[in-house]
Amino acid sequence: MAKVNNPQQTVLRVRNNYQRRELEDRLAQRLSAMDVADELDLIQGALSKLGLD
Amino acid sequence: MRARAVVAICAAASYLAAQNLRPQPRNGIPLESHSHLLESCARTAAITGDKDSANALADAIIGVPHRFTIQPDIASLIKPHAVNAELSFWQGLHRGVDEADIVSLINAFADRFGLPEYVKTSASQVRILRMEGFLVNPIFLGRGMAQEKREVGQQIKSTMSPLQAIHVIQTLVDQKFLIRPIRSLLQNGTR
Repeated sequence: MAKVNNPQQTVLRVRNNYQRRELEDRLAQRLSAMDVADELDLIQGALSKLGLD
Repeated sequence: MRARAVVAICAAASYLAAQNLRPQPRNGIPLESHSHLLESCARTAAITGDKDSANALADAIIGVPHRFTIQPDIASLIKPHAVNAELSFWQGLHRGVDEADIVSLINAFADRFGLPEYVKTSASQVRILRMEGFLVNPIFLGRGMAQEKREVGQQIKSTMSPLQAIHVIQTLVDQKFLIRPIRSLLQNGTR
């Protein structure tokens, strides 16, 4: 007998996949728009927040 | 002859089933090996406490596959800071990284890049991840985790070593992309 998927789980899975793709696209856009100075600034900021500078 | 063929088919089927159960390799290295390497390096670092062992541990952490693996040029910028801070931390000269620092970093990152609200994190999410990570890498993540003065509900320190923090951050980012439970927790109002 074929396994019947739970419709709620299917909706959740589709929504999660959509959210993940949206997040990846958005992050990729923002990162590609950064120049080297911005990247260095980001890294320095991260190190500073963690107390590693 | 027929029995021999049946045995051969059964052996092939069990081999294929075993292959499916194993973690799939990434970058040619099985995931379990990264974990073992991390534990082995953490054990050596805990015993010797020297710079070479801290460097090896940092390399092991950077080598663990993640959704966003640290690029070599960025790793070369971060690693010296992280290794020096790690050594200072175990000598009692560095305050360590608090769970709140990680929350602040991730949330600032989400704000800066205009990412969705669910990317933001909280101290409870970081704590859950640390505890789950502890089950996988007890030597690495368990070192220095217990409070000296234990009271009910406060057995775990909120601070961790710099290299532990880098590993937790990378794992947290993975969770935001890949795994549902944290989002379920979010929906349940744990955040």
